[in-house]
Amino acid sequence: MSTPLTHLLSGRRYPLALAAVAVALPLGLVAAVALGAVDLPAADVWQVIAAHLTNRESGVDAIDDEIIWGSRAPRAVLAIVAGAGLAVAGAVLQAVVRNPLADPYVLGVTSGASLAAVAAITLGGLAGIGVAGAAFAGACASLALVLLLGRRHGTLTATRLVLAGVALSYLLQGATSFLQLRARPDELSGLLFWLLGSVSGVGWGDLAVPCAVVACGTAWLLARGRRLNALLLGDETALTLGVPVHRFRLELLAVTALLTGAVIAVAGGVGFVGLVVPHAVRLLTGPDHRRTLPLVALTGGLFLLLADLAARTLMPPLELPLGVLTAAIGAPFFLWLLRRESAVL
Amino acid sequence: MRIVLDGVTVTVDETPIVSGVDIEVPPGLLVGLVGPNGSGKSTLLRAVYRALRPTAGAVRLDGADLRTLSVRESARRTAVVAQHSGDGFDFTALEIVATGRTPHRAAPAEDRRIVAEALERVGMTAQAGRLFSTLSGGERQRVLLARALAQQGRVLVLDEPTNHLDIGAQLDLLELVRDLRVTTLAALHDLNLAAAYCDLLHVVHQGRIAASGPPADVLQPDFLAEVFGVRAHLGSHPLTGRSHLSFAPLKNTGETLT
Repeated sequence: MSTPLTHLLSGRRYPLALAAVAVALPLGLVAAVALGAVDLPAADVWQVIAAHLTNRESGVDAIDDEIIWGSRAPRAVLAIVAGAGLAVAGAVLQAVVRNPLADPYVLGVTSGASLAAVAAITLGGLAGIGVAGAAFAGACASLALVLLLGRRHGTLTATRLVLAGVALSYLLQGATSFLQLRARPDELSGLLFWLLGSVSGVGWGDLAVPCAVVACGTAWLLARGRRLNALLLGDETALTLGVPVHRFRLELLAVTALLTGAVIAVAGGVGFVGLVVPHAVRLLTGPDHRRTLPLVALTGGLFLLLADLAARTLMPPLELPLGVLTAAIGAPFFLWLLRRESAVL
Repeated sequence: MRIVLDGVTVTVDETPIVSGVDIEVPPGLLVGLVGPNGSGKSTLLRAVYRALRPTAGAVRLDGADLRTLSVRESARRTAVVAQHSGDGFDFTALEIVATGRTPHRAAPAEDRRIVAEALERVGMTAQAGRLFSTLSGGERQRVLLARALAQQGRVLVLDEPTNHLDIGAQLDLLELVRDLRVTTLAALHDLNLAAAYCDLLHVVHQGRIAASGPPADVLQPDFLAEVFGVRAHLGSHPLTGRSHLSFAPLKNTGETLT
């Protein structure tokens, strides 16, 4: 048994892979918008999107236009943005806590968001900020709490952060379950859908905040690829390589919490993307963040786009929660990758 | 560049680990720290590369107090090879060496050239694309030395760099380090290696400097008996003719059994 001697995607193969995913993304977008309860021709989809982007009349039937531009397109865009944001946040958090099992949820951020959202649904709007606002506030509050619990002598260590996050998650999940028990039956399906994640029913107006946060957050993280690599080698090594470890880790936690919070505030707790996508990409490219992060963002977006397409089309007219799909696709894929790696060994 | 430790005291959880240590590393020399386990060698090195902050005294690089430099500025001056290197998280040798460029802002082409040169200098060019975790212990340490070279620090700090290496790799690595002619402070375990490669030695004992000077002056049998609790014999190396230490336990040597 020996490990492979070098990365699978090295040298010129990496830009090719990046280009392939970058091309697949708009194609996937058109497919996701064309397919559904009513299948629409791809040509119409192109035409409607192009027309709206250039402020012209599309000439396509008004109902089809509404399905394409008013309903399916924002939904598909949210799937891409949410997938990209969660995957990037997961990849970065795995470096921050140096734990391969970390995902955007390991620091209790989702549990906080879920509790706040469920509370907003069952107990009535929290001070008029709505479910999304409550979820975002919950995400921020739980991160602050984890940071407070995870520090000792003024420093944060990776292990303490994870332990504090896991402990807090259980506590918050318990509280969420308690609220679920007390929920009225008519609230329950909405609750469940939110807890498992969904990109349905969004309009363009809901997209502004997550799009801006994911774009800015990802750009900020991409510019810090070298320092992320150094962090992966350990706190002390990172320090000797000129990374102010403590401050950098706080910045990374804040940015990833912002990413995660902005995504789950509109899409709910979509699981597995943040865990599986970074690992799948890393198995191909190796751990260098300057190479992984762009591919992680694109692959995460594509993955969630296709997962949502499957969620809408697999069992019509029933729409499956996204979390069920991402787990059903993600877990076997993950196991396959692991087995495939050991086949190379 | 010159390293000066000026009355350095480091206290961890209110226990002083080293107290009032004065060390000077003149430019271009290889200065060794030797001493028993737990004597405070690593603590002193960690104060030099800022993993620990002295509770009293100061570490100066060419006269500048480390505390007045940003973390990035001191990383451009000081490169470190520590003893446990981990498994490298599936980075290739090339990628590990490239992390040495983290504190610098250079054009990517310039970075690539410096990294390639560093690999060449330690003789690891052929293994550049290999995963760090698949390299032997000696190759790993050479890659980490190449990273330190890519970092272009004018000061090198080595914390027991030859630990876990076979004897050939130990000699290789120290030959490489000596030939660099960079100001180097190194903690070493093996007294004979320290004597063979260091220009000056400091003996650390119970958190203080017990002796300093050229190896031949410092490594005297009576003194070693006191610090390390062993019997030492100073002879000459049968192959190189250099002075060579042999050791035996202080008591109950077994010689009287027969």
